[in-house]
Amino acid sequence: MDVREVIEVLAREPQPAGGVDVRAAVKVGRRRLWWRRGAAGAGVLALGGGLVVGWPGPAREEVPAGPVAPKAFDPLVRHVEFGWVPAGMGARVVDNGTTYTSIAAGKPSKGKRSFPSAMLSVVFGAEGVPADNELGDSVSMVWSTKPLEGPLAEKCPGEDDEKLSGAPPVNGRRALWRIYAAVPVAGCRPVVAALHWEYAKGAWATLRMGDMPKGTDRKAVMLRVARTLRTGLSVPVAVPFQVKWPEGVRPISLREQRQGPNREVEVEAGEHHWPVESHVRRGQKYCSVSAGPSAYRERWLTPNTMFDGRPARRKDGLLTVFGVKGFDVEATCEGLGGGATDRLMRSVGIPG
Amino acid sequence: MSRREREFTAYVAERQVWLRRVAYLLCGDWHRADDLVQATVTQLFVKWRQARAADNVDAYVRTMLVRVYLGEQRGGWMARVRVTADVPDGAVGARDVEAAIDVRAALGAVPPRQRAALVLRYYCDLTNEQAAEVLGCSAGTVKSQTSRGLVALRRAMAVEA
Repeated sequence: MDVREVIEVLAREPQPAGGVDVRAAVKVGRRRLWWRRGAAGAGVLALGGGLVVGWPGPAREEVPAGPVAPKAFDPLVRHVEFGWVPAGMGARVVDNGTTYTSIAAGKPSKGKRSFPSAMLSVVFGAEGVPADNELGDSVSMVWSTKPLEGPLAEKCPGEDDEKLSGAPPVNGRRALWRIYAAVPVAGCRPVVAALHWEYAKGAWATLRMGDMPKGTDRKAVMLRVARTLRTGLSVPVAVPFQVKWPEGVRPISLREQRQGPNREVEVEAGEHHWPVESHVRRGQKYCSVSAGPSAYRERWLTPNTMFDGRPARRKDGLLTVFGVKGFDVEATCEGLGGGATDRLMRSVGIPG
Repeated sequence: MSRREREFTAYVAERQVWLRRVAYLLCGDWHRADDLVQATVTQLFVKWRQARAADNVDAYVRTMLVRVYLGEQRGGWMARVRVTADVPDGAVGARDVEAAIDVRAALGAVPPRQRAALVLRYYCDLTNEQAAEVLGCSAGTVKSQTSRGLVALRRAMAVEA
């Protein structure tokens, strides 16, 4: 019996009942996801502390002094930056929507063209955005890189349970801890997963922290990070490309990953300040452009066409052009008629 | 349900039989295979955007599955499911050539990385280069892992003449 026959014998065994719990995968995956586009939407205004929204539209309300709850954020601007973070977290991410602004920090990965999962994230929600675990809808808790402890086959009892408890104030504002009752990678022990605080009346911030070295005082670290954040900033994100958006759409989200000299930036544009998923659900106009280090995705993406003399790839409405001044550029449009994606790609310019 | 969730759910529903089978071939136990697949699809949800844009979504997901499997070996999980530790050379027990061979035990005797190489090469029909991509090593290493895996498998199945 040769090896193929051996394997075929096993492969032909009937599969027992059981299988995959897709709902659980979605639920846990949503918890780990970094780059969601936004929480429930709200109106339009600016972050307190003197920040002006650079909204490419009609003039907005002026920003009063003091901690005022913003109703929206300019996605093209960095509103907050870390002060203190644990040693070694040199990689940075900015993830902005119109109803939230967030930053994340992580350990740099060894690969030049890969970006690590973040270990720390802070999300400031606009006024009225719920301070639940879906705020910003993204935390990659980076549990999975750690060697597993405890039984894998059995779920931890109470694994899906969470609770909120009072936390020391953050810069004088009321705060809460979010605690997961039983985390498998931590040997089914409870873990303090997040710190929420009401940074302005009716507006919440959430700090989440992934797996840290044994013995780390998680609460102390999280409080120190939260209390040393620099807020009220108004620093435009240096987008490595220029683009002419089609009529009727404007930026609604930006995502930037940085590690050393490498950056990947994506900007999404829509008709309204809704989260991206709303655009997709309602069939509204939507476009996105992203640029990352060339060959960043070449392991999985191969050219299947040419675009204006450059190797390119089309799949499922996405157009990727490779090697544009050191970047691979990806563009897509929906709800804007035929040819919109190509026109968008032709409008992209990379300086330098 | 968002677009991501719709697409992801549809993909998993369609491919879960195949995923469970590959996982079973890797680990030899259905319960553990289900855990491997569950861990993989949970990661897949996070990386769905990259996966759906890939040349071959199945290949992308298979790579994730193999890496989840190999990642667990580093955590000492393997000790719980290894069927045999050392397989003696030559015959074990009676020389009855019609004796049923415990195929699962035989494959279970192959160390995990070699086993993954065998599954990728002989069940998934990948080339050495393709298997190297999945395993994160060179094609040369795949050849040697495959070769050693075959030796281990044949040793486990050997019957004294």
